[in-house]
Formats: sequence, structure tokens, C-alpha cells
Amino acid sequence: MTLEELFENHHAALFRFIAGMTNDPEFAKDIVQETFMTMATRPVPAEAQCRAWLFQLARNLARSGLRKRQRRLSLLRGRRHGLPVASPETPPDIGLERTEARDAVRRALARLSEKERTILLMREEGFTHREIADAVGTTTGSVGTMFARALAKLEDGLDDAWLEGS
Amino acid sequence: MNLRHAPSGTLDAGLLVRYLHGELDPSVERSVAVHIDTCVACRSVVESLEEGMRRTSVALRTAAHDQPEANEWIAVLDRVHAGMGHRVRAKRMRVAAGWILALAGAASIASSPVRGWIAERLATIAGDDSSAAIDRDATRGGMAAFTFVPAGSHLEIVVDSIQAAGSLTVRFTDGDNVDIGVSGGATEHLTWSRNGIRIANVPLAAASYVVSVSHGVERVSVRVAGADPIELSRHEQGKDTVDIALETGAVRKPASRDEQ
Repeated sequence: MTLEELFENHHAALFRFIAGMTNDPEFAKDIVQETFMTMATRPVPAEAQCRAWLFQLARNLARSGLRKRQRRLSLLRGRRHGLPVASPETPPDIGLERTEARDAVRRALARLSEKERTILLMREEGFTHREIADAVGTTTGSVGTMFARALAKLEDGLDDAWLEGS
Repeated sequence: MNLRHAPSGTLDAGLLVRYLHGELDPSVERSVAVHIDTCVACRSVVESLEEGMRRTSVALRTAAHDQPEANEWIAVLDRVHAGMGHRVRAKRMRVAAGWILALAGAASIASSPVRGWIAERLATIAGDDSSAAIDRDATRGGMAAFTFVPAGSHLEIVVDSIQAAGSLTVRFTDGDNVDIGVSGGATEHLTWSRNGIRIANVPLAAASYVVSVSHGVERVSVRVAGADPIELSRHEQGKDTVDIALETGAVRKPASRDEQ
């Protein structure tokens, strides 16, 4: 499969996954780029495993990128107390109700651990428990339990109003 | 068959998730299905999990960020192409250095503003992974192999290969450009400037090259892959230009103009 085909087939899902993980679409776009660039230096698995491999690679790059960013933020905070941290802007063309619902979900997602977010987001993308287990470094049998826990935690974090509305 | 139970007495939630996701062996799946048919408490847990999964799916779609525009993805793919080319070539270069012409300028600049510019580049590069910190953008095909390496106190710039006439823009993430152009003609020039480095008229696969370094640079070292760098003295830098002969696999310091 050519790079163009791989990119065409997977870039949107990779973006959704990393943006959901990090709540930062610009960062997610950079990670998608870095993921495909990194492919050039590594042996790519057969087509059947390629999708899970790409997601795992993207997740690792995102985690590494976030650690770097955290270190920089720590340094900046050490130098300048009260430095504001940029938050994603709200697009002006979406309704208030939708914006509130979206923000409520993002807040609830942010309360999950990175592993819990990965499990929910990968499952949403249709990955099997084995693929999810490989990505988060656990056993296939544990994914169901972790998924149930993440599900309950997300629902706890969602506003009652949002749950009623859904 | 013994099925795993939660302390509440119902089947374990993880097992039920695997059941709902179709992740159980057929025999276990049948056992769970039979149990759910007869156990009100477990059926209630399954219904609750199904509803939670549905709501989570809606929630994740609600929280999803808008995809970038198509032209942004095209630009990403272009950068992936340029970056992949660079990385593959860099890998090849390590194993076949003798065939690859390389030119390194290691510069400690005496006079600002050039010194400031270099220091700025060093800060940018040293502060991050060098491959990620620099955005390479091959504006035309035929040549795109550049490596930027933070080397101690000075910036080392290696030109991996120049394969055809054309031009290449190396764009730093902060928006500054380094233009490296190759075009027809008889002479070769490497020029440091506020805006970057310009290499002109380097012929394809030639056995030797003459590179002229403009004045204003305190110290420059130039090397061909696999050879030790040579350094030009301040005296030589005082001239309008300094010629260095580069041959594949070796660097020959030119006779000074006084000797010629």
C-alpha cells in the first residue's frame, strides 16, 4: 500500500483519536504528520495490522510530545507565575447549546486517565480488545474491565443535563 | 461453565463488555447468553452497559474536533513526503557516505546580526528534536536532502545531496526562510546572509567542487562526508571570497590567493 493510500485511509481517524486524547486539534495534526514521517524509518507491518500499528505509533508520539510540552510549561511557570495557558477557541459558528454539550464531554474526558481515554477512543474507532490491549500494554482479558470502568467514570463526569439530553 | 461474577452476584462487568463487543469464545458467549436470559439482575447490567456505550459513542462524537480543511491535509502530506525523503536519504547516507557529497559549515560568527541569527537557530534546534523543529519544504522536485545538526556551540549544516538544478526552501517553524538554490552557470557560491545560506551552481555528481565563502564569517569548517573538516583561518576570511576544493571523500584546502 502506498503512502498516499495509507494517508487517505487513516489520517482522519488518527486525527480524531489524537484530538480526542489531547483536546488539541493543532497538536493532533502535527502528530498525524509525524506519524507518517516516522513510518519511513520503521518496518511497516502487513496491511491487516497496519491500522493498529499506526494508532499505537501516533499515541506514543503524542505522549512523548505531551511530556516535552509539560516540561516546557513547567519551566515557563517556574519563570513566570500566573502565565495563562491557551485553551482552544470556540468556533463562532456553532450554537451555544452544542458548545456547552461539547465542553461538558471534553471536561469529562479530561478527567479520565490517558489509558482510559485511549480505550474508549480506540473502541469507538472499531479496534478489537487485542489491538487495544497491545496499544495500552495490558492483557486482552483486562480490556473489558477497564472499558467498563472508563465508561462509568465518563458518565459520572458528564453533567446530568447532558445525559438527559442525549 | 463457571462464569466470573462481581461481588454483587451479577456477572463481572468486564465479561459482559466482552460479550457485548463480541470478544468471547463461542462457547463462553453461549453460556453468558443463556445466563442473561434467566437472570434479571445481569440483564439489567447488560442493558445499562449498552445504554452507557450508546451515550459514550454520542458523547465522543459530540466532543470531536472539526477536521482540518482538505488543503491543510494536502500541505501535511507534502511535508510528510519531504520529511520522509530526508529521513530515508539520511539513513542511506550513513551507509554509503563515500558517494554522497556533503558540505558542512560550522560557524561561529564574529559579527551580529548574523551571529544573532545563528544563535536563534541554535536555540530553536537544540531546544527540540532537530527533525521535528525544522519544517522542510521542497518547493521543486529533484533535491531535498538536508540535515541540520546542533553540534556543540556551533551550527553544522550538512548538504546531503544536490541532484538537479532547481531550488529548495528550508522553512523554519518560526517562519524564517533559508533559500538554497542551484542553477546553471560556471561558478559555485556558498553565501551566509541574514536570511540564510545560498548555494548556487553546484553541478550534478561532479567529482570536485569549488565553493566560495563570502567574507563576514569568522570561522567556517567544511567537510565532505567521511572526511575530516577543514577550518578556514580569520586571515582567509578577510578576503572577499575563499575558495575550497571539495572532492568526493576528501577536502582539499585551496592555495591562498597570494600563492596563486
